[in-house]
Amino acid sequence: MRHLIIGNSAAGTAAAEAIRANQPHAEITILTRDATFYSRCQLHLVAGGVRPAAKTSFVPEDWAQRHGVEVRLGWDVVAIDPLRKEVSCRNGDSLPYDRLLLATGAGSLTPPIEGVRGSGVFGLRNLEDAQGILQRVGKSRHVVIIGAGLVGCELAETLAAGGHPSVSMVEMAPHPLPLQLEMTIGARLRDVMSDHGMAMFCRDSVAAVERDRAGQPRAVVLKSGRALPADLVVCAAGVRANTDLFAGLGTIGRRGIVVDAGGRTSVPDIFAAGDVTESCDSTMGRVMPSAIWPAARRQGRVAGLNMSGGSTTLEAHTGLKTSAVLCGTPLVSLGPVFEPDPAWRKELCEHTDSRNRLCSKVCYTDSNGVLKAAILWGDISQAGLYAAAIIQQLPLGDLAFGSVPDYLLRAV
Amino acid sequence: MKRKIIDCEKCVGCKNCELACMVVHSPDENLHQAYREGGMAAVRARCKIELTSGGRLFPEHCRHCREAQCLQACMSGALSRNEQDFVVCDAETCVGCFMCVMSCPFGAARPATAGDRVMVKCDGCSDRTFPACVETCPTACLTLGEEAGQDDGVVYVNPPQPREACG
Amino acid sequence: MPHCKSADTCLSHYLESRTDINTAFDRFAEQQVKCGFAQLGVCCRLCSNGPCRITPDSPKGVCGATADGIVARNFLRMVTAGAGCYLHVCEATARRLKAIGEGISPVPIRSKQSLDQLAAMLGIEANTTEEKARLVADGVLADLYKPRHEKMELVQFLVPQERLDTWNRLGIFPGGAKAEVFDALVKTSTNLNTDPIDQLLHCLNLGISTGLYGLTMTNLMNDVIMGEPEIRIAATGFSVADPDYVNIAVSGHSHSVFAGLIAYLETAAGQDVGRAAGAKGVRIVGMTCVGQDMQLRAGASGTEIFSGQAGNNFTQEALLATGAVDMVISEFNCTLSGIEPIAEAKQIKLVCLDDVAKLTSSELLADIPGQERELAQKLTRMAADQYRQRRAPGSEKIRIDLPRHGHQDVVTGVSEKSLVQFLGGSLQPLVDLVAGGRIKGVAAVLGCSNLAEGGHDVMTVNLTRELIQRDILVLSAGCTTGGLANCGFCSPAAKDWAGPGLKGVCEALGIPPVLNFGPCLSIGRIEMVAKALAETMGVSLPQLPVVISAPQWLEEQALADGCFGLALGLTLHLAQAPPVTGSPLITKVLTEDLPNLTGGRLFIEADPVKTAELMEGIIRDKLQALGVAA
Repeated sequence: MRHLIIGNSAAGTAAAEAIRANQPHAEITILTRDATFYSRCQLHLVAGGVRPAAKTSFVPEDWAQRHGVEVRLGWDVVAIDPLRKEVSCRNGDSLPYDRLLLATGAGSLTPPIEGVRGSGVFGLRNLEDAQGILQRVGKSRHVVIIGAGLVGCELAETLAAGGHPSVSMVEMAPHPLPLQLEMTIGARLRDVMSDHGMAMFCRDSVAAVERDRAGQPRAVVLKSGRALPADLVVCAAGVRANTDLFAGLGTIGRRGIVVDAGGRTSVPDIFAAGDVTESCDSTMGRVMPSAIWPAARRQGRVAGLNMSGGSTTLEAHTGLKTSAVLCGTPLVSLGPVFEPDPAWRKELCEHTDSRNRLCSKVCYTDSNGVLKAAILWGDISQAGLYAAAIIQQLPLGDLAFGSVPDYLLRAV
Repeated sequence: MKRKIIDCEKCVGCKNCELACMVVHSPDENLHQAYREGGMAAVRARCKIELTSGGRLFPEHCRHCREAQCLQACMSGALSRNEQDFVVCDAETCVGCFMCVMSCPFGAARPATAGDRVMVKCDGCSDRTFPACVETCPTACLTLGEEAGQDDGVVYVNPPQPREACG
Repeated sequence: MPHCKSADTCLSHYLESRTDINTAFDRFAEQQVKCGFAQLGVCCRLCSNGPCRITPDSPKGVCGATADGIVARNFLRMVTAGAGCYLHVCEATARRLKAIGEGISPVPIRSKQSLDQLAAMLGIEANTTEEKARLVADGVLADLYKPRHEKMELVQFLVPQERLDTWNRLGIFPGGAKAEVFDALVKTSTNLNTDPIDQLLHCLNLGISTGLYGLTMTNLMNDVIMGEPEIRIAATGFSVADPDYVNIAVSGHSHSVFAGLIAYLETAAGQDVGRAAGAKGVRIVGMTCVGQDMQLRAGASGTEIFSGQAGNNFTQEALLATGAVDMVISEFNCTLSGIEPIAEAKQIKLVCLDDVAKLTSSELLADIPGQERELAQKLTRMAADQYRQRRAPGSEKIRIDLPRHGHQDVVTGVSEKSLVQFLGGSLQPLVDLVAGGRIKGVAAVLGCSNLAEGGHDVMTVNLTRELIQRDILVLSAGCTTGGLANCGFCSPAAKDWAGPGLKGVCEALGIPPVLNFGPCLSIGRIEMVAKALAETMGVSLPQLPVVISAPQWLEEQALADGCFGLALGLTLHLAQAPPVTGSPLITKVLTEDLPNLTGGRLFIEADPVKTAELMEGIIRDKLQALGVAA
């Protein structure tokens, strides 16, 4: 059997590993536009010059050999013919498949802002983006990052920590990480980031990027009227699923390719996994993007198993899980904290530990005491227990620091 | 393969397992060096005796799960399964994103408390003939043995029961 | 919840609101998993072959020591340290009295009457007050410094003959107190005494010198120097601190260390130092037991300048976090190191007057007899400077966040003498109340507070509530009192929580159901009340229908106090077993055999209702044995 996988990131590699586990002799080929294996979660480190691109591979050097996978780097697929079951590439070659996996991920969304297109304005989704920023950032005097989501915040923090004198963030919401934090912790993060030298412009947005005569960015004008000097602009205001290859072939939802719990698209023998898909989020009960690494890996694995004769479904799937370390503080967000059900009870639990570290937990529970969403700040050691409680719809007990939740005992 | 067997009723909470774990993961692997200035914080124990809400002691050890969630969540390639079937972390590769921490349903993947920003977890004492925690347990709460019936690398015996109210 | 709770709900809420500080209440949660060997007392760290821990598979230490031997040795070491602590306070007080008697210290003698009574009791005669003071102090110091083979002399004036006979029979009548402490340490060193019974008897011996010298003599000498307790109404809780004043919080156990400071602050010159700094004056805020002692004697000394008692041992971190205190003076224990980072954050000056209580970040100032006045001036200036700095422009971070906390109508000043005076000259009315069945008996709830036993003061408050509901009058001394006062039990309105009999008595006499004897040193006063009751009733101490409880004992001194109670032949309750339960022998002697030795007995019970039932039963049995129908 011939398996073709488009994409070599989290979902693509997980699928290849799963196929190989099921079918020792099947033919597995990965086609990818990328020139290397690299972890997209580390792009901010590359952009900030903290980690060389070569060190961002998330698989061992002999990965392809070990799993018997043929990897064709730099191969750009331009079309799929589901009737003849083959894909055609930009170099003119066509490759046949028995099962095809679309693991093409997502790309930066460029917001419709005047002057945003052109030199000096970057997204941060691909290694080229990161390398482009890295090349410019050394000479740049003022960096403006549009959007204080996870990508934006991590980049801002990396640049500020690296000594960049002027890093500004513009965010529509009242605080950074609007999808991951609520008001209390959000405001605290905003203050902490300000204390660490980042200029935070919340409740504001970018109206235009002004350019000088040479066409280089000069300033960013905000809706509020304020103008921020800027010679390097990064758009981190969201992503768009790379569904172009699938357009006209099968069902695409508002946020990505529609798949069932086994990773199947509406087209026979074509599967999809990772950021290119949209799927029902267990914590919300509705379709959400699931742009996180662990979710893509799990989706890829399930799709791979099903491509190779298995019959597996993805259970308890969520992309609403974020961990980050910003300005030295680890934090984890779990579940729909940005849109809690009004009936949920919100509880803030705080203390200062012996390392003089402020530790906070925000927990949302429903009327049955079931944990629905949570934010951990400072001490995240038990984040996995909280995440499991949310996914498995279990109460967390007394939320005590350092105590064992009852559900864990049941799981023993 | 011999597995770690944990008889919860025999735990007296002496924390010798934690201490031994800290020591073998400290730079000098020496008890008297492990607590010296700066040393103790950096070598967080990989196992932990927890107190249940019912007041019982519960030795929390990594299960080295068949389907290890930490492994699935790792975006740097630091976590892998070694030849002895233990899920281990390569601290050089780890970037400290802590997605493993939020993915382990048992709380066995944890951030290091000092030093480099990396995760720490049980490595099964892969390079020792006997895990340090098992070696130092004074009450035979932790032993090695052949115990059938469970897929994971750790077998719990006499675990504390969850409270009635929540069951 | 992350925090350990307090029975004092106002304090609990305040601590929860102050997420910016790390206190014992946070750290208690972090320290939750305890070592079983340590709790059992079966870990020995005395030699390089160890540490040895006793388990079923390794029942003896490398040296051959059994669980009994290891437990007894560890326990004696704890009691020794505890005895040493109280004896240190006694010695310091005697040295001050001696310096006053010799005319070296300019500190006034506030109660000549006390001195006369004390001298008379000890059989000391002298022509002048100063001479008398010097002779009393010399007598005490001579006893403390005797070698071990010379028995202490003043002891015999403080206890009934029956006790002396019992102690002589058991061979636990102490020699020189400091020598007994010294040899107890020798005895417990590596490969010396392995006899658990001998070590346990040494504990009782140390208990006797702790009680009679560390507690009682210290009280009596402090009464001379600082004045006698008078029953009065006072305020407790954080609200006693007024941020308009320079506030000096005091921590420790030695009231007379503050004799010079109190005298100076009572003068206009002293108050002017505070006024010059922009405050209304200078006040002392009570923190830990020395504050309780000031509260107790505030009718006689420091009446105007002592604001009141803020709270007990585990409230000090919260008190400092309020920002209302400018300086802390400590001279003895129960000063938590946890206050240091808070003091640093709040720019609170830490001063220590005795190196035994030196904190890392406190400034040690020498307290030299004869230089009390200069020291007082210096301390006052330092506090005023701190006040000025803390309120200077640019110090906005020092926010004052003082909750409304405590009670304004706490009845204080109860002592063995003021109680008798209050009852009209003898304890007979109290005996009549018990004999007549109006109240069922008297219990002492005393000692420390800890964070175990359900939380700060939780067991203390729950047990006291159960006892007064059962018409048992409660006497309290130590941190228990600080907690009970802040929870309202020492205010007259607490009568409504008492049973009908006790409530009636409270209403008739205008007293609360819990009598506030002040600091833990006053455990000595409660034992003097017991002695007086026994004399009034014509019975021995073990026969007395009284039970004592140290529900939330914390530390080594409490264990030494406990040994005093057991040596006196009283029944003692503890909620948490001391680390002796790894020894079957020691456990049996303390809980079963002791009645045949001293007449005392130890019982352990963590549940407040069961404890109250047991205490009620013990009192009832003792009354029945005396032929008094309950």
